Amino acid sequence: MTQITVGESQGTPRSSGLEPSVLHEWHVLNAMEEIPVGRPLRTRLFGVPVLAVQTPDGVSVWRTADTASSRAGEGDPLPVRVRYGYVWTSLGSPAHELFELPECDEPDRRLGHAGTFAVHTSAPRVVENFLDMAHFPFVHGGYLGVEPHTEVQDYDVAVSADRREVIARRCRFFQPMASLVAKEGFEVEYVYRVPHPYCAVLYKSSALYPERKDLIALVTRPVDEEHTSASLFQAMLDDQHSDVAIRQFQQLIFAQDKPILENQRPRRLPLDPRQETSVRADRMSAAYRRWLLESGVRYGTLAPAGSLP
Amino acid sequence: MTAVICETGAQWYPICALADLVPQHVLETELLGVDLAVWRSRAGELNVWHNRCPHRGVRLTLGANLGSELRCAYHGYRFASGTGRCQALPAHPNRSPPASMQVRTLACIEHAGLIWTSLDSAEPPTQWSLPDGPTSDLYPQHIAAPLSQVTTALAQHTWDFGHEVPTDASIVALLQPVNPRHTVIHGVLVGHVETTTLQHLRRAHAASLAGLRRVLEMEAPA
Repeated sequence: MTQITVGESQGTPRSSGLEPSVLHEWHVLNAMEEIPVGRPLRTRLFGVPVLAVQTPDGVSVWRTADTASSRAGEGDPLPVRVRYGYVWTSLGSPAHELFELPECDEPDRRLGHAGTFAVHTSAPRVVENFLDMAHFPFVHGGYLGVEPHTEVQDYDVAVSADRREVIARRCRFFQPMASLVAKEGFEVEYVYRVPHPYCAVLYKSSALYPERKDLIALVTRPVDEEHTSASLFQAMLDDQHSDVAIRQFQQLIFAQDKPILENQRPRRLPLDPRQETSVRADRMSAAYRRWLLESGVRYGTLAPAGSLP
Repeated sequence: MTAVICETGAQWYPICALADLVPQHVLETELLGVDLAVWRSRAGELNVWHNRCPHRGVRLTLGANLGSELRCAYHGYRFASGTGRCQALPAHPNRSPPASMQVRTLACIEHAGLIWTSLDSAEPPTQWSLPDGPTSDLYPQHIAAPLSQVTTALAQHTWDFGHEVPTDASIVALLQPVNPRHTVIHGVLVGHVETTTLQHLRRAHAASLAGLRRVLEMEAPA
C-alpha cells in the first residue's frame, strides 16, 4: 500500500498522506464528452497532477510530475473506469467497484451530463449543499421552493448495514417548479443517497409519473482541499424537452448555489458537531458529517481535535 | 498631520466610516484577518458581527438587513440586532431556535466619524488620542502592506497639501490593520474648515497617500 503525499492547497499544507478511505476509491475526473480526442486534458486530483487522453481505443489517465509540461505516456498510468458517461480513476488500488445506479438501465430515461462547475470550496461542502432541502425557498425561490412553504418535515436517515452509504427517505418539500415538466407546484418526495464521500444521488417525484422518480447525481472531484470540480448527471423522465433545455435547468439551479458555497467559512467541512449549530432539518447533513468522520475521510474536512486519521 | 493608532491600551481599531453604512446595507470589512459584517438597524443600533452564520458558516454580508434583524442568505435564519440571537428558523416555524444559534457579536462605538471595534475588548476606550473638535472624513487609502510598515512610512512621510491646513485644524490618520498583508488608512480632519478648503484638502490628502502607497507597495514583498 503506497501512501501518496498530496500537494499543498491554499490552506494549511497537508503533511500526512492521503487517507486509505479516499486513496483506494474511484474518483470522477470529468465527463467523457469533456475530454478532447487526441489532445491531453491536464488537471489535478487531490492536488496531484493528472493527465487524461482519449483515443479511439479508449481513455488513459496518468499521474504526472506537473500540470503544464508533461505529455501523454509520461508518468504512472492510473486505473480507469468509464461509467455513467464519466471517466473515473484512482490514485490507489480500489478493492471494490463504483456505486451502482440501476435506474440508468430503464429505457425511457433521458441520461446525460448536465454540466461541470469549478467551485472554490471543498468537495464535502458541495455534497452537503446537494443534500439540503431547507435552503430551497431562499436560494432557489420560485423553482425548488417558495415562501411561506419553508418547513422541513421529519424524514428518515440511516446508514446502510455495510456502512458504505448514507440514505435519507420520506423527505418531502413543496416545490413550485420541481423540474421542466412540472406545470404547477406540488409536494415533492425525495430520497437521498450518499454512496461515496464526494458523490450524492437524489431521487425526486416525477411530475409526469406519480410512482416514479427523476434521478440527479452530483459527482465531485477534489481538485485540492478547497477547490472542487462538480459535475451533475441526470436520468430524467422527460419526453418533452430538448437535451439543452434539460441541462440548462440544472445549470440554473447550480448557479444559484455556487455563490453560497464560495462564501462558506471555513471552506473545509467541519466534522466537529460543536463547530456549526444544527437543527432537526439538518439530520442528513449531520449524518453525512458523522459518516465521513467514522469512515476515516479527512480530505476537504476539518476533523475534530484528537480524532484519529 | 499626525498618524495615530488609537493609543488607549485597548485594542480598538477603526473599521469603516459612519458614512459607509448606508440604510439597509450590510457592509463587509476585515480586522486582523477576521471577516466582519457591519450593519445598522432601522432604529439606529450599530452591529459589528463576525461575518459567519452560526448554522452553516455562510458570510452574513450575503444576507439582508431587514431593519431589526439580519437574514442569512442560505436558510433565511433571522438574527436580532444587538444580541445576534436567532429569532426564527424557517425550516421549523413552530420551534424555538437553540440558544447556540447566535452570531458572535463584537463591541463597537462611533467616534470621530468612524466605527470602531475590538476583537478582544468589550470596553471601549475612555480616553482617545484624537484632538477635540468637529470631524470630517477624508478619503480612506487601502495599502497592500502590514500595519508596522504603514506606521513607519507615515511617520517619515512628507506632506504637501498645496496650501496651509488652518492652524486650528489637524489631519489625523487612523489605521485599520485588515490582515497581515493589508492596512487601511482612515483620514480624519479635526477642526473647522471652509467647504472649499475641505474639498481641496481631501484631494491633496488622497494624492499624498497615493504616493505613500506606491512607495510601500513597491517595497512590500510580493
